[in-house]
Amino acid sequence: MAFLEVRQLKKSFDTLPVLRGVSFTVEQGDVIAIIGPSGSGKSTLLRCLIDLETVDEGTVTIGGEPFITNGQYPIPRHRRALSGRMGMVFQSFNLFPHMTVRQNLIEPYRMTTPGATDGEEKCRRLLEKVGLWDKADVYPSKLSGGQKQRVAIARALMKSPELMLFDEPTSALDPQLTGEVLSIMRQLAQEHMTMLVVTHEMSFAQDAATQVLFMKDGLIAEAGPPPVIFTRPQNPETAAFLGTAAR
Amino acid sequence: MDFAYIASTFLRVGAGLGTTLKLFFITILASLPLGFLITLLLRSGITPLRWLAKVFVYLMRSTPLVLQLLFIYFGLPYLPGVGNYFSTMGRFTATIWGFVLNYAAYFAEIFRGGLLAVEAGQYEAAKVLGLTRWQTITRVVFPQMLRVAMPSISNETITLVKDTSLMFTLAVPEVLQFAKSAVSSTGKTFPFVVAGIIYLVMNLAITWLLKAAEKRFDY
Repeated sequence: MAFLEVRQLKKSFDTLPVLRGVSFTVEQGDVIAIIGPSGSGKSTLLRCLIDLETVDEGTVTIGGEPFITNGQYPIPRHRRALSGRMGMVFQSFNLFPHMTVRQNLIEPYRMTTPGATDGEEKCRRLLEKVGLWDKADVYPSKLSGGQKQRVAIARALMKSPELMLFDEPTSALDPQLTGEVLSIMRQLAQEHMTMLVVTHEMSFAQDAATQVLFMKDGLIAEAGPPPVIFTRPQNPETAAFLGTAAR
Repeated sequence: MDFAYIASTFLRVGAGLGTTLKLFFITILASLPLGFLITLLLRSGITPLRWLAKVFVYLMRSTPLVLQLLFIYFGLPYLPGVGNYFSTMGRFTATIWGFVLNYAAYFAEIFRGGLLAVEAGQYEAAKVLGLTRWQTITRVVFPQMLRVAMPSISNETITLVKDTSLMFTLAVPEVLQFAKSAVSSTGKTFPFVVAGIIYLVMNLAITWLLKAAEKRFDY
């Protein structure tokens, strides 16, 4: 059964429709790249899925459980438990500046998982995974953008999410720093982490994704495996976008 | 001017130090948390609460503290209906109320400024990590707000040391009151110098303490 099912999701900001009926499915182990022009609703889609935005209409199930049913949410405790099964990485990192790298990982974990004793060990394993164990006691202000984002990924992984959402994780980085973040994400993909990645990095979408969604004007204009989307797109708008992006 | 005179003047003026320090500490300890509470009310989604907080801050910041003290001690007992509750209030108690409410209003504005410095992304990160609203406020927002607010809090604290002399208004015996009476009875102005030295020493200690506190927030 699919881990995430999204049916006819709609969302407007005031009178401006941003999502106009988005439907797709995420299977366990899928790495889905969401591409498309600015303002097409990519980020809003992720934010709706993890409950940073409230949708107007549509149905979403997470792990088979109803998260949104025709625009209606369950009771707060249930609602939080369901969105809590996902982790999110932001374009602007959003590390806690008053906490060291280690505290950024451990403190939220302790707050949300009372009684857990594996915090230290998990923190060490994840920081080693992203290659920043030597920075454990450093404050985020001392890190480069790429390092900050790697910490943010490790922090999101602390609660062992079943689905990771990435909202343009490399867009705030200098070109020479995107590589270190993308290689961590590639590694996660190889480990079959289920991922939903909003990105402008076409090379990542092409070689790490199992599925590509092309969004335009609040709709999924085309969906398919990378070879189809990138070499013979069926929708002329996809071709037009990729033509511009390639240039 | 011999040593014995200097020492006795310090003792005489210093007799008011207990009251001065008591007012200082009670005001700081009560007005900081009250101020933060008012900041939360200023940002409340409930419009009547928000307006109440705004009116309170406006009144407290826009009228002289001396007038507020006079109003609390002399005015409140004449309020129809509730006046009786205030008629037995002592001078020092009235002073404490005036100071706590007045400083809470200033601290509320300082905290409000500090909160504006906390980016929306911090709240979002806290939410997707599963923190509760309370955890987000106390563990994520508050420390960051405090860092921004710290220099202004220091400033207010130093002002408070000097403002304690406004107890004079309600004739509560504190440092300045004792200095004045010493000047009146001896005809010498040296007790005023002593009072000045006492305020200088208090603020020196406080400045040093606050600097150390600010360093702790350096990240």
